[in-house]
Amino acid sequence: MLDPNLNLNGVTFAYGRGRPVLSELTLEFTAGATLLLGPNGAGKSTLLGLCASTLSPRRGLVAANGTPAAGADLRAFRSVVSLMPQQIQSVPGLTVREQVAYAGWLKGMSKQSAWERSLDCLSRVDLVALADRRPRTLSGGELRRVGVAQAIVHGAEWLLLDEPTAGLDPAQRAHFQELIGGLRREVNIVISTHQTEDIGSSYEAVLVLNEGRVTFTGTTEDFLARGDGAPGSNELVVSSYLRALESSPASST
Amino acid sequence: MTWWLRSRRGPALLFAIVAQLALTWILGETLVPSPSLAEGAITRLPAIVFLPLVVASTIYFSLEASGGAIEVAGVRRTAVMDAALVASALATLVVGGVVIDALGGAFTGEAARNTAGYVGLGLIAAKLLGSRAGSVAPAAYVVLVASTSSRTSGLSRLWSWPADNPLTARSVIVAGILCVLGLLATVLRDRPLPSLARQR
Amino acid sequence: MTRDLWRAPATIAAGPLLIVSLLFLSGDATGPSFYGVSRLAQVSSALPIIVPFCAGLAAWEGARLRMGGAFSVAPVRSELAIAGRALLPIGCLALLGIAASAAAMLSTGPSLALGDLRILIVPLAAVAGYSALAYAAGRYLPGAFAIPGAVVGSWLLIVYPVAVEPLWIRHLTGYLSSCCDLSTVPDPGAMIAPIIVAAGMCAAAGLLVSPLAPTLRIGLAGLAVVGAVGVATTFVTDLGSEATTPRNASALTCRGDRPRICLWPENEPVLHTTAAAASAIRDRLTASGVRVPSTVSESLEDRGKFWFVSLVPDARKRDVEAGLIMGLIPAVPACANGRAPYPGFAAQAPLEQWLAAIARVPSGSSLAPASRRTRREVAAVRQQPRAEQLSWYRQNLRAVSKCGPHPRLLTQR
Repeated sequence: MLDPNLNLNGVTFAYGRGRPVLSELTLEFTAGATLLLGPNGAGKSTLLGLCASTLSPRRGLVAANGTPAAGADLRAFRSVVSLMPQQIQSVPGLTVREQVAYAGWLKGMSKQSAWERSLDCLSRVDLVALADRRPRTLSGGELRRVGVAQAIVHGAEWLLLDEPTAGLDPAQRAHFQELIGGLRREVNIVISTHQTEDIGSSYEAVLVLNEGRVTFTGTTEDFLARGDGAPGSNELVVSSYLRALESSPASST
Repeated sequence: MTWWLRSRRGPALLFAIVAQLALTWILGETLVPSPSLAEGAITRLPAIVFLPLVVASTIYFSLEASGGAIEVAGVRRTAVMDAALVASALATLVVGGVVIDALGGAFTGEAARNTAGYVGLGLIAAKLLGSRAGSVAPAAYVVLVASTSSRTSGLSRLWSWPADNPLTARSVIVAGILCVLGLLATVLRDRPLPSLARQR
Repeated sequence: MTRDLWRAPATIAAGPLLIVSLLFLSGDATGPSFYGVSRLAQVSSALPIIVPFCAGLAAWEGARLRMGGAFSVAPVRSELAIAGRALLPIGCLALLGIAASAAAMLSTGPSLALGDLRILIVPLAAVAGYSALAYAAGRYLPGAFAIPGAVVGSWLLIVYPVAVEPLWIRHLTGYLSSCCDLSTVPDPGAMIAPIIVAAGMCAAAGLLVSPLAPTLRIGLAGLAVVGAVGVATTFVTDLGSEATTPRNASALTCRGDRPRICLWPENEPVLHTTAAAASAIRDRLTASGVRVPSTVSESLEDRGKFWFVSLVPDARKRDVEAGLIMGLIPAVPACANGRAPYPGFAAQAPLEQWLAAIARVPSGSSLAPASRRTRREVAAVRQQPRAEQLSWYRQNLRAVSKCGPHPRLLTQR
């Protein structure tokens, strides 16, 4: 059996008639947890959208475990990939639990199993107490946790999380890191962020995107080795990040 | 399926259908004065030119919840389900109209025709010009038809199909084509197109 | 600010709005083309196009601000300031539409005084009122309902009152297209009423977007509209289907003596023709014993006191003669418009033809062709002695000017 992978091959994407956001991008996410770093406007959300097939590339191909995100294989692709987008929409007419269950049903689960699983997912993100509330009454941070629950409900093999910790307080962020630590034993994760304090030992790989190009890809250790500062310090992380932004673009993984 | 239907505000849509049927029964024969570009005078159009905007607007309101990331990335073909919802709403309108006709009402066929045409027009406009255009297009078209209608010549024009009374084959065909094209535009939403990124 | 104007949806809508409005007005103009007041009043005919356009765009702007969360960021600028900025392009669009319509109407080169331009305040106020309420609707209702509701609702509110009774309701909309012939001007009440209604709508919109409690907001807004309509109604309840009032006689240009000719300035080109015709007709009628006033006047206020005439600047001699003859017949009394019996109507045509014959107005004149019955009547009267003819004339003149008396017709016994 092949190792799980999520890869992009020569992918080009632009919004409307604008300048391409990603141009001839080829990269591969391998098993485990990968941190996707980059400044605002680097193309992280676009990259995740392409990986989740919510966006369609102008050229190139996206595939998960050899299943392309196109044509007749699209539904099979979507059943193994799950996205938590940057903006969590509240679905009108549904409670929090119903919205999570709805997300599972959309991913092909039966209504019964989606309903049962939704409570489990809400407990993992510490939202059981709000299960019967309307999503539009939740705070921004709470809504993001709903988004995480939506993403994990159907047990996808690949979990793509776009800025999952935005709006979370430090305690919740720590709880989220624990959640990631637990999830990476079950699924492969790609997390996009520009909050450098999220970098820790939970991740096997780091990928830095800048202006639509990969400026660094490698293990977390290699990434941190590029930086100055004491090991374990945020200064080390930040300087590693900045050096990665400065370096020449890598053309392949 | 229940969750999907509730996210599409199914009860509100049902209420709008009932309300439109009732209004058609009560006001269907009312004539609305309309200053006509074509004739340089006031013509009178039946209220069924305007009343179908009730269901058309509500359908558009229902579909506003659609197309979010969780649906686009989903396995279930919610776009096809949305198209089926629209078709079911129109079918319910037709059935309700038949019942009302049997009870002595009138113009329910014209109201159903116009609703189908307006819905199709809105869905096509939303696909081509963005979601906001979908809510404007039917209303703007109604005002345009009302302002350019000509009742004295006895001849209807292709674009004035909402005002054709009684039902003509041509008006039903035009409205039907618009409806089918609109449903097709809705179904194609299921495919992740670059244009979807603009809407999001 | 300039960039906002260029990028606003109203700017995109300007082209289609202008095209449709001008097309609309090209087929819709009534009233004399040489009379500026009438042409300016006709601009209100474009309201069924301009108002829905602007109301739809205003609802769009309101919905856009609501969906964009503009009011959830605790803005420093007031709601009214934000609304004003959003509605500025629409205000410009309305001004452009009204100005273009006015330019189209005035392209015939009619006479115009600067003060006449105040008529344009009426359609501008109407657009402002509907747009303000539409914006408020867009702020609070889903766009799927607010925008089409604003487009169709505003259109219906403008056009539907024209067809309902009581007749004065139509004068609340700002629709002045029944104005005016040369002897009339828009009734001041018909101009004030729509402005008051629009002010009420603007006040209601301001209340709806105010920080008051929702129930209070809606209640006060409703009161504002109802109150404004109530006040406006008091200005128009006495008006019939046409919102016009006689033009002020001080605008007349008067020349000559016995007869003295007083015409509107627009008809100055026919002053000499009118003086010559009036002099000749007066001499002949006076010689036959018919009393004719010594002053000819186009003013409706003077009708009954003077010799009334209604002319146009390009009137020919036969049109003037016909107008002078018809002006000697009293106007249909007001009681006849209220559907009271008016038997004197049967004497109108015979009186006109008899006067034309006595005044020796040629048969090629522009009087309406006489029916066989009328010709028989006049022929029978002309065979009577002069005293009998004059008696016939005076009796029928009284019958024509009142609702009760029956005419004296020799051939109808």
